[in-house]
Amino acid sequence: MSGAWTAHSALEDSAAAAAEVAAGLAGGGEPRAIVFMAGIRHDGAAIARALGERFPTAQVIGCSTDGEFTERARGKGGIAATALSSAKVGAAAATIAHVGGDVEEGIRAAARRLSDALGRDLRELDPQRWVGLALLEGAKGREEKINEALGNVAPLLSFVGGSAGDDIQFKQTWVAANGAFDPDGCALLVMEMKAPFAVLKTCSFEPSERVVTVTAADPSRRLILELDGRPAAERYAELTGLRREDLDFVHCIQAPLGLMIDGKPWLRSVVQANGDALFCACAVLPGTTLSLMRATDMVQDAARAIDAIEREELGAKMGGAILFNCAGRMVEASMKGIEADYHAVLSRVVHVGMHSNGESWLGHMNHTLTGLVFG
Amino acid sequence: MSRFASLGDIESALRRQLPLNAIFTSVNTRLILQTGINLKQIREDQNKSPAAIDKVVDALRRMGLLEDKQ
Repeated sequence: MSGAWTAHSALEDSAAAAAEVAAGLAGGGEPRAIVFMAGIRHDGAAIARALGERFPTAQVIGCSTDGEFTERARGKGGIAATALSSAKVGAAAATIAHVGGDVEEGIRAAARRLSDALGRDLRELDPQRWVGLALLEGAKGREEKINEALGNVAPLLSFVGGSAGDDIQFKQTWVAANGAFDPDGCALLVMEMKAPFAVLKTCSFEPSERVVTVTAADPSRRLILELDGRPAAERYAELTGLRREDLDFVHCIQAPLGLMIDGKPWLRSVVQANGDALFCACAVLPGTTLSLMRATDMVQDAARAIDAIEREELGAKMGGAILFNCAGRMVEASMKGIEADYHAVLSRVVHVGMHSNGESWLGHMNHTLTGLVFG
Repeated sequence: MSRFASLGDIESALRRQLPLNAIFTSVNTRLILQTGINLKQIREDQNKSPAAIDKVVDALRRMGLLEDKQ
């Protein structure tokens, strides 16, 4: 074992699936951390409890998905999991932040529990040795607030993760940690990494020469009201060449807008027209300049991103990865018939992954492959 | 009222507090996503804007950064 290993079950019965995953994770030593991703119909509390009882040395977190995968299997409605040994992880602590009320307070309380468990304040953790995983409630549009609150309790620490899924229904998701369960929570796992690590964030779009300025927006409702001083739907249709009546998920998913930061796109997916406005999958601030993005090759981009991070950041082949792949990319890959090729590229690396309702790192974003990767 | 006269002053103070460029960059990314203001590419029309300065100082204060300057 390399210090990271995975298991998968396609079973729909939670007890049976958890037992199959536990059996698959056994034999690799005593894990320090386990991350599982499961279909929305599964009993997350039962899975977390079963894995915790079977692996008492491990901190366990998990969430519901839009589909889950490892380097050897993929599906929807099952369970995928990874275990990390002491070769990868030193100290670790997990908890759930309840975000159904005051998000800031929920995250602060969770941060206090994590700090107590680790014996030191999260703010004091060396961000070059420590990292956080965050599995966010993914149906109620709170990801911006959750990310901001995480930045407020530990601004130097990376929390990487994604929004829990529910088969892309955006109605109800769940998260779990160490036997606890919350349909309105954010599961957090903070780890001292014993291996080199980095954050992978890539997408299969590049900026075109066409840019627009957001002249009016309602970030709290994820609405762009105006682009370049004109009704947003009208200007976006003109920009993309789409007919006004075609501004729906299927068409808009292929023409996201991108906020460019340090030359890298942070995608803001347009979901659909909402009257004269555009409803997006994450908040956009007034005054922001956005690029209309042009699709590139998802398979080649993923391969290049993995090569680049191995070469430039890890200095070695990846020993494992915990991946969050936007459900929109899953839909796009399916429409283009490239799912097998895409997963073949990811499967060069031992990994667990999920199709997510959004991805998180420093903030909330859309239509990316984001994850924690390590040597 | 902020003690900073410009976004450039804030950038300098934050770089002193966070000398590692990768860490400065990640905090700057948080700022861009929360406020729309980029301390690595300060717009001329924002540099001495009290509203822009207050917005950034407030975001950094919530993160517990630059607190000795408040």
